[in-house]
Parts: sequence; structure tokens; C-alpha cells
Amino acid sequence: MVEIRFHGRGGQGARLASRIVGRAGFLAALFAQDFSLFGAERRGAPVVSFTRLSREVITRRGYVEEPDAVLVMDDSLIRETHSQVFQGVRNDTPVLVNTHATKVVPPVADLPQVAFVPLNWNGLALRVIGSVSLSAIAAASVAKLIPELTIDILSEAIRIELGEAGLVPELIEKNVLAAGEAFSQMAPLSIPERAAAESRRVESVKLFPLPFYNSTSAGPTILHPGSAALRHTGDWRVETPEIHLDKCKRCFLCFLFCPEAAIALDERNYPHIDFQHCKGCMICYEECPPRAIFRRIEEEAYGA
Amino acid sequence: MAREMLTGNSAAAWGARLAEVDYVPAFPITPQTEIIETLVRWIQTREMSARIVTMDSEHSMLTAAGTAAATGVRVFTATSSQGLVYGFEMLYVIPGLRVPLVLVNVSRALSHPITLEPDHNDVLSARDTGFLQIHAESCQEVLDSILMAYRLAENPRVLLPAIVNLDGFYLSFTREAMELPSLEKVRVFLPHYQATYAHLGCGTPMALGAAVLNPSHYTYFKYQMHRAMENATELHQEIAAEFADVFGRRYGAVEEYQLDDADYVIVMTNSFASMGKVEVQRLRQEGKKIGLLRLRLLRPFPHLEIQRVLSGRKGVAVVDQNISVGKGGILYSEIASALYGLTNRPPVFLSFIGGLGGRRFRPEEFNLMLALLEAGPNRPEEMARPYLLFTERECREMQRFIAVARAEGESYEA
Repeated sequence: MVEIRFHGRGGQGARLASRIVGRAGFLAALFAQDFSLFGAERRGAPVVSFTRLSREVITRRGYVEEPDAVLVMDDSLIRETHSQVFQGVRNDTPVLVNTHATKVVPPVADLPQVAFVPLNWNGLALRVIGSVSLSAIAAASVAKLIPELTIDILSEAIRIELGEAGLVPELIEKNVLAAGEAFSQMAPLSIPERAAAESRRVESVKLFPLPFYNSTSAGPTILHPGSAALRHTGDWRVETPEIHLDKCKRCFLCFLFCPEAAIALDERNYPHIDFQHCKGCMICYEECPPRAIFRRIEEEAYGA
Repeated sequence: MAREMLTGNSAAAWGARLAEVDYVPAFPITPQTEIIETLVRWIQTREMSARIVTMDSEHSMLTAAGTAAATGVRVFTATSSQGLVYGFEMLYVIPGLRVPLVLVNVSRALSHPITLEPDHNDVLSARDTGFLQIHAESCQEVLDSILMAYRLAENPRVLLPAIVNLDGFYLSFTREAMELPSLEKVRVFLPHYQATYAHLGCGTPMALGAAVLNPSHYTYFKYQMHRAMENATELHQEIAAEFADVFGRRYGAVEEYQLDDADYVIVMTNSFASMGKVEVQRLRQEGKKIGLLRLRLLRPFPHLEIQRVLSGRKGVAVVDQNISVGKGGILYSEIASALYGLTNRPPVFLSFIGGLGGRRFRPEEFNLMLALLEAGPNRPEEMARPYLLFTERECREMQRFIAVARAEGESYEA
């Protein structure tokens, strides 16, 4: 069995990528399972999804704890400790990273010697598809690791899944084209052997009595307001609104509509964006009557 | 019959579609919404012929479901977690009307703290209401259980509503290959609906759910529900056999995994039982005589089946993915009552709480449970307590969070 874990941000296509690989396995007459976990947030928030493919019936279910391959669709996730991108990896586990850099620097020293594969999926997506949709490209890169998944099967899987997602045929074909390129460019890597289940070391555990805590620690109470500002949700941004103050009529609409309260007015009532917290939802861009707000693709994220 | 890749939610929607339901009152809630979205799409494209109405709350939704069923049409609805408890009053009213319908619950742990991943405090809160309950482990079982639930609920010996439960995320958003039966085949097992019980219609006015202020009369009606539920125990076997004849898949009230020669048994439910089976398989390869019992039919509670399976074992561990605060595991207590009268009941019978809020089991926790079963409790009094599956590492992490929260507080105050 091959177990693949996809890490992405809401909107990048991690869920769809896991479904394309799952569908491709199904079409290749393998047993297949795909699954996604996401929180309450949407665009930009960390998402994790999984595909299992096997020649035998799949008995496992749920989170992939020990992946045979990891896909990281946004290299900023490597630095986010709670995303647990490297959980359960072993020596030579392929870790495919979407980055404009040519080398991936591991964030911690005590990591197993994983096989980092830096891939500029954003560049390929922008050039061939015209937008940063990564699902088909990411699926194609990882499909190369699985002998049963040919480019024909993969293309059919992309057409089915993107069709179900409601994409127009023209856009689907661009995705198929980009996937073909990603598939042929991907280095032939093999998935490292997995220790047999019975020989795997099972850590001994003991019963751990959970002690009683007093009421201030026992309930989910945030005693000190304002701590949400400590979370820099600006990292989630894949598009950036840019206010051209010379065109601004000071109507306040961007300030009123910003769902994150990330726009503040200065003493002359001109709006300014707090980029530590702007998630790039582009609502301000949509609302601005004189079109004084422009759309810019995040350079660091896309390496444009 | 075709093989398809479907999520648990799409399997539930297909269950409603293949059952040719007439009416679907709906209200969205994560992680259930995909079910009603799918039904809306099919109704719009006329692939499905039913009336769907979005209501203003789950209370209204369940009211509409029960009253629509009282007009003799086939009704389907779905909710999850907070939605189920928001409509709670109607969960008692619908069985009291003695009308059949199927309610899919997509399990999600209850607030507070608000969260998204599954445990079973939501669906088990409805255990005393008079709803039948079937808990599914796979996407296939979701679809199959919905078809079986209609047969059970609509039988004149039962006439009670049914809940089919599936875990949020771990089934609702898990896609796996399954058999999608043809409508023709489903009709053989579950024919087009013809209500035979007294129901409202044009020209047949009647009062349903009338007041009964006499305590002995009240007892009569309430206990009738219990008798009907008891009938469902036997009926489930008949319907399961019929289902197997048509579709080739057989479901018991309980599922026995690696139990033939097992000295020790782990009891689990729903999709996390799959993870338990993997660990049981691993321990089997190490030569341990362990097996797993999965409860599938929760109401009516399969006392006799549980007695049959668990009597004579050396030790049984019940893993409750729920907590009755102030008592412990809900299913542990229920199984204990089934075993009490047996002379050869398992001498070691332990309770574990795990999987709250979707917490994942660790493989080593199954080694631990087995070791505790083998050793037995130090004192018999210990058997009444639940053990919490929570690792030292998790405990350290919580202590670190608490320390950070305190330090943050001090720095804010400074």
C-alpha cells in the first residue's frame, strides 16, 4: 500500500489533488481511498489531505501517520510547526515542495534524511493554466512515483475530477496539459521500503492520569483579549490588494467591508492595509468604487 | 450495480435517492451539508424526484420531517452534532407519533469547546428517544444501512424513526470504492413506499400525538414504543438476510472480527473501529489472542448478541468514543448490564475513553489495553472507573500550553 499526504492552504487544491490521485488509482484497478481534514477557516488556512492506493483491500482509515510520500503545496507550511509536515517521515521519503527556490532547507536539524524535491508548481500553473491552480500538477508529480499510474490514466482522472468540480472543458484541458508537463519533468524516485507492521517498534505507554486543573485552566477561556493579533494570518495570503492612494476617494468602503479588520484609516481618512493580518480575500478590491485597489500576486509565494 | 468512488456523505445522499424518498426537510451544518447539497443538485437536474425544503432551524426541520411522515410519505433528513441537539425536543416527539423516517447523523463532537471532528456524544444523546440507531463503519455501510433502516422503520411491527450514524470527516469526507446498487435492485429489496398505518390525508382528518394525561395510559403508549423496538431486534436479522440475498453483503447487529479463539476482546463502534482492526491484526501477528467486537445496531441494543459473543472470554475492554460526564463510557455501562446475569461473564471488564473530539488512537494504546486485560485490575473496585487514553506527551503539551497562556497573561498585565 502507498500512503500519500498532501499539505496545502485552502484554495490551492490539496483536496482535489488527493482526489485526482485516488481516482487515478481507482481507474488503474487499484484499491483507493482519499480523505481531507480541514478546520473552520477557508482560503489560505492549512489543509491536509490523503490518498491510499493498494493492490489489496485497504483496511486503514483516517490520518496518514507514516506517509510514503509528502506533498507540500506551499513552502511557508514547512515553517509552521503545527502543520506537522514531517510527521512520520523516514529516510528517503520523497517530500515534494512547491517553491521557487532550487533547494529546500529543512527547518529542524533532527529530521530523517528525506528526499526533498523542489518543484516550481506555481510557475508552471501560471504559464500553462493562467492561474495558480495546483491540483492537477501536484497530482501528476506524485503519480510518477506509482508505477500503475500512467499519464493516460492520470489525464482521465483529472478530466473526471475537475469536471465534477465544475470547471469548463477549456480550463480542464489546460490542467491536463500542465499535468503532462509536470509528469514528464518529475524525477523517477522510488518510495522507500516500509518496516513490516509486526517488526515496527511500538513505544511502550503507561496510563497517564490526567490531573485536575483549577477553573482558569480547565475551560477554553481566553483571559487576555487581543491575542488573535499574535497569529500572523498574513502568511496565508496568495493575492495581495494594493491601494493606490492617488485614486482613493476616501469612501471608507474597503475599511467597512474588510472581514479581518486589517484596514485602518489614517488621520486624513486614507486607508492602509495591515499585511501581517490581511488574508488576501480581495473583498476590498471587489468593493472599491473608483478601482483604486489593485490585485497583485504575492511574490514570495509565487516567485513570479 | 456499478463500482464508484464515493464519500460517506455522497453514499448517504445515494441512500436517499435510491430509497426514492418523497420529502427532505434540510438545514446545513458541517460536516453534513454535502448530503443536502447533493440532493438539491439531483432534484434540480430532475435525476431525483422529491421535494426539498430548507427550514429555519433543525427544530423546524425535524418537526417538518415527523409531520410529513405522518402524511404517509417517505421522509429523509440529515444533521450533525449541534443541529441534532438543537432539534432535541422533536427527537422524542417523532417516535411518539409512531411514524417511520430516516435521519442521518454525521457525528461531530459537541460544544463547548466547539470543534469539528467526531465523537459520539451527539448521537448517543438520542439513545433514549425511541429512534432506532445503526452506526456505520464504511461508506458502503452508510448506503446499505439507510436502505435497511427504511425497511426496519416502516415495518408495521416497528413504526419508529431511525438514525443512521456516520463519523464526520473520517467517513463523511472519506472517499472509497463501493458498490452502487441499481435502482431496479433496490426496488426489489425496498419497494416504492405504501404507508399502511393510519396517516393524514385529504379527506382523512385525524389527530396524531394527542394528549394523554392519565399516567397509566401514558405508560401504555411509552412501553409500546419499547415493545416495537424489541421487535426490531428480530426483524433486523430477517431484513439483513434478505439484504444479503439481494446484494450479497451481510450485516449483523454486531460485527465479530478475529473473535473465534480470542481470549481478549476490544469493543468499538463506527469508523474508528477500522483503526482498531488494524491494531488487532498487528497483535494477532505477534501471537496475541485478541479480537474486536463492533457494535452496529445500537438501538435496539443487541443484549443477546453481546452475551453470545462476550461470554467465556478472559477479558473485555470497551472503548467509548464518548463520555457521560460524571459517569464515564456510555457503552461500557450498557454492555455491563447485558453481561451481569451471566455466570461465565468475562472476569476482567475494563472501560476506556478515547477518540474524543476525533483524537486519533495510538498503536501502543492497544498494547496497553491488552496488557491491562491480561493483568486484571489491582482491586475489583477499579473496574468501575474509566481509563482515559491520553499520552504522557499530550499531557506535557497541555502543560506547556497552560504555561504559555499564563506567561502571556503576565506579559499583557505588565
